[in-house]
Amino acid sequence: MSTKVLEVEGLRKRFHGVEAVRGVDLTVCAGEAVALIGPNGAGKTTCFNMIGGQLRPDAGRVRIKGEDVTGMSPRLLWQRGVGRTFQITAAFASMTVRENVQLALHAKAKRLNHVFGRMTANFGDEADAVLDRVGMRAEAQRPCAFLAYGDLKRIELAIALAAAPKLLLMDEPTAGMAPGERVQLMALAASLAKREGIAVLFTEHDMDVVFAHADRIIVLDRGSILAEGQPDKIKADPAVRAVYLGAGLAPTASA
Amino acid sequence: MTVLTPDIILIQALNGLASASSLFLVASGLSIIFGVTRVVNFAHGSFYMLGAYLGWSLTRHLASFGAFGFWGSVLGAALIVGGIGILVEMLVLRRLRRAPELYPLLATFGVVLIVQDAALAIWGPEDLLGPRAPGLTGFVSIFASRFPVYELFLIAVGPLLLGGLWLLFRRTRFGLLVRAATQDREMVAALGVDERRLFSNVFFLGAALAGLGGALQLPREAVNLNMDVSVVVEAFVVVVVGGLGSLVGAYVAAVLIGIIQAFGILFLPKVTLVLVFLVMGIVLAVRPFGLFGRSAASEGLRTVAQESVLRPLSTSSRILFALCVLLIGAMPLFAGGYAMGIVAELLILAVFAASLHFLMGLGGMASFGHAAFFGIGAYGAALALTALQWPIAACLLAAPLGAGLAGIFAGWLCVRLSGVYLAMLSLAVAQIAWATSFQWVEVTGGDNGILGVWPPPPFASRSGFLLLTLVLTAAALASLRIAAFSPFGYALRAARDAPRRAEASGIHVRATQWAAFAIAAAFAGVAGGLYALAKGSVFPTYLAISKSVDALIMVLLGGIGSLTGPIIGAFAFGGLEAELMASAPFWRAILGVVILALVIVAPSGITGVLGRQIGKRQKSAASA
Amino acid sequence: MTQAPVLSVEALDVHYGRAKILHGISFEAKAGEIVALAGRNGAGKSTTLKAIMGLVPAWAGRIAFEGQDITGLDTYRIARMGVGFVPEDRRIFTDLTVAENLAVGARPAKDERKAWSVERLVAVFPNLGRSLHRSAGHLSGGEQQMLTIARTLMGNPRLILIDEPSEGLAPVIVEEMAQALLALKRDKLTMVVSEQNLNLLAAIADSAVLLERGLVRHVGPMSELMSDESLRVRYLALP
Repeated sequence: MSTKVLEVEGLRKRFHGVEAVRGVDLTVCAGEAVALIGPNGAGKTTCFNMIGGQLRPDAGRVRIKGEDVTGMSPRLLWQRGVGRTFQITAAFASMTVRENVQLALHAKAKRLNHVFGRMTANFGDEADAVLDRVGMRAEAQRPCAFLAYGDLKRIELAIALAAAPKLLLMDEPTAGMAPGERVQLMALAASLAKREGIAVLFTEHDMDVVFAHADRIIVLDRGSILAEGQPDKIKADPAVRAVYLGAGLAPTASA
Repeated sequence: MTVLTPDIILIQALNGLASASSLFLVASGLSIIFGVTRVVNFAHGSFYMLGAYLGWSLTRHLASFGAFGFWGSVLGAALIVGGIGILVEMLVLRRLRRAPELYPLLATFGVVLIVQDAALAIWGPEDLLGPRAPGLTGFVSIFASRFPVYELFLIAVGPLLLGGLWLLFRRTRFGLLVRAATQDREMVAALGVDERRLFSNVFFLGAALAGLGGALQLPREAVNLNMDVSVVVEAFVVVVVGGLGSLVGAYVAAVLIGIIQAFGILFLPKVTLVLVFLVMGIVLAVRPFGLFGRSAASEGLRTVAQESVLRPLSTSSRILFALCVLLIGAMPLFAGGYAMGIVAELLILAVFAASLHFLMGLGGMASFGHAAFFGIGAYGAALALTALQWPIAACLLAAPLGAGLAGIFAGWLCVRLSGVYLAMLSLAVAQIAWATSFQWVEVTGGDNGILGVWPPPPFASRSGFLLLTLVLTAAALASLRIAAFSPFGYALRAARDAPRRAEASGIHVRATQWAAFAIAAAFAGVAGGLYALAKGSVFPTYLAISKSVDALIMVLLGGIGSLTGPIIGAFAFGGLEAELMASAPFWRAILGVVILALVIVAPSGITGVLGRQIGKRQKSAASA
Repeated sequence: MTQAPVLSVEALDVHYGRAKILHGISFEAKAGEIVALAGRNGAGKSTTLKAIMGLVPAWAGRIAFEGQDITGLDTYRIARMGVGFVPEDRRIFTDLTVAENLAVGARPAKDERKAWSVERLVAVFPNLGRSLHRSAGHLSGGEQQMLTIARTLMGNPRLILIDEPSEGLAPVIVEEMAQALLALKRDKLTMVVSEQNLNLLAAIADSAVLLERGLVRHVGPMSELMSDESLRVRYLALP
């Protein structure tokens, strides 16, 4: 049995008197990719931000490898092995691809407070190795500001991987990408997770991506868990179809 | 100690409310303009001053029309100032719409300089006394005291204006469009609204309100050439304390500031100046977005136009720099004392500008109060030399130490905020430092400053001092450059590029920015200490807003996208200023025109333009 | 005599700074037609729509709306002529109420078609009717997307440019969106839709324009794109 990396219990959050998340429990194990899906406004992002340390929950517990990390800042979570990518992709635009990863490696080595010595002199090979894993080695010298969106997503992933995370949180990782690229990116993330035993929790609206790469799916509706299970089970669940999946689009009748 | 009797309390409260109204007139216009156009309009104080001067001239011409003449003049002045606002918008700011917010700000400072000299040329340097308001010349009795009716009228103006603006924004289509454009002006245009006309109208409204505020001051105080900067700084305080974008907040803050000033004059006349800014600091420390403000996600103040990758110097650039250092080092062999003095001063300015660039360019924190640390360094060195009689090395160490300590304190306050709020809070901190230097006469000598701050031999001669300056400034500039490429420098840029990403990648964003603030302050202190020795004296003006703006101009003029930019900017600006001050009678206006021209023609700064030229040449060479 | 197309784009070039984004894009949209702009990220779909709307300058080429040249016109003039724009990141005015958002876009109709009113819009987008006086910032993502379309319709456009309408929306909401767009099509509205979701395009579009790195690679009926796997693999990296 694989080990539990993330355990969430009874998570709750209220905004202006409205309960956005009302008692969510979930676990993610090492090497497992879990998708969190649900209608807009179901509380996915709120849940995500509570797990990622951007929001403090009103109630409930978040544990990483058994340690209670509820309410910790993103930086403290990072120290405990939580990596994340953002819905609105952000790499460090004023640096090259390699410098982005080198900086993450310096953070890992606790060398960010060094005021002397050139940053680019260290961890160059290690950075290239990380870039290799996401297929961006060839772009190492390019400034991030001029990367295509899909490549930027890979850099974000590389920055997270540089810290050797135990848990990877990916908020809408494929938003804004072309369908083909979406599947590629998530396939990459899922295979890295499998190979390196990283636990992955992601939110996503593209069902092709979700059904192809999630080991388990959790459906959120109005702040609580509506259904949870293997992709096939979720696909067939009438309640999930009603609130979220819909009946499927029919091609146009016009001719 | 003044005895506090009920009538004194009441009268001072009423005085405070009357000042609050005129402050609100200026602040509301500033707030409306900022909301829609994102322009931090330094020239708003100039609009106010022009309103007062124009009102004065009009009342003299229309004196024979009695009450109609006076009120017509007030209204006429407001309308003319509104028209001037439209001109400024059309001729200057419209061209800068796509530039980062700091460039329009700099442009409006150019307008301030031009208006100052224009007012001097038209109305002369003497204070001008305006007429009293017909029909409102009387007094009412409050307990045993007499209180002017005109002040009561002013007290009413504030709430009336607030109500009128509320109706305008909530009940008219113009108001609806202004509120929509405040959020997303491009989208408003895509929905078929002529945003340029909307902008012009907003500028008219904002400028006219300031003009009205100025004209309404005529019966209260003499019109003078210093009205502009003092009122605009107070209006900034009001807008920020109230919360950007909130008119109710602006009124409440205006009342708060008005009352504090009224009672401050009574009880703590020595620290009134400090008091206002202290209140601002406290409010922002507790409520970072002001009393009625909301999260300032959209109030960013972009400092870097396009994320530009910093590159280490090429070999040819290194050689060029080495040659420059050698050339300056050899100046005692061929140059005169005056030239050496100027060059030493330019070197000092380069460190001052580079220290601000470290904060602003690399850290993304635009400070409007960087002169505070320059000034503290200057006072530190001067006091160590004159009062404490320390050896020169210790004095030169006291400058960055004092400034750095001040930077640690100021940074702790400032890095909790970002964008315009950070800029304003840094301005407030600097004003506190300025007011302290001004009012703490026992230590600082007040307005008279500290004189006789001359370095001992071998640095007493022009050439000796130049060499000392060259060594120290070259070391300072090199250190800042090394820091920029160090892990810390990268972490600082990461915090600027994507703060959330940085935090989630193990970078302590606030601590990094705080450290950068202190470092920048310490280097500004190095510059300040040397400047004190170069000038042989220290004055409160070293900490004044104009000095902070000088630093901003140098950084932006040189180009914020490169580390060489501030150095080139300092030499260009410092050289120009020295040249103009020495020769031209209206040097401020000329400087203003130069700033406008540069901002409009070369918004990427000198290095940006040079970079493009070199790029072009390389391209054409490659294709040839 | 054939009628002039509602929109015609000829040899459009666009640069951002030093980078050339669009290289001679040409396509047309006929009256009442939905044209799909498909392509990977960075292919130039968004830029094409922004250039038509005058939000980014066209460096070369010609854009005509109902036969009139609109190249280089100010955005607001293009909007007033009858072109609506629905941006990709929604960009509703969150500080305004839903009704106020609609009011900003309101502009009288210029043709014989029935003008849009709040009542008529509520019939097409029922969710908006329930929250007319709520702050638009409190709407869910799906409702916000509907509001951007509704707000544009208030200007009574004859052509609307829609950028990535399904981005970030739940599948059920995407279906609702498709129904709404089809309702607009029955109203003879011409649309150009940039979109990544092929299923949505297949459900609504008549013809497709395939972009790759700023070039038009293929123009043809939507059904052709759906039946030709090699096209999809080549330009969309899709089976």
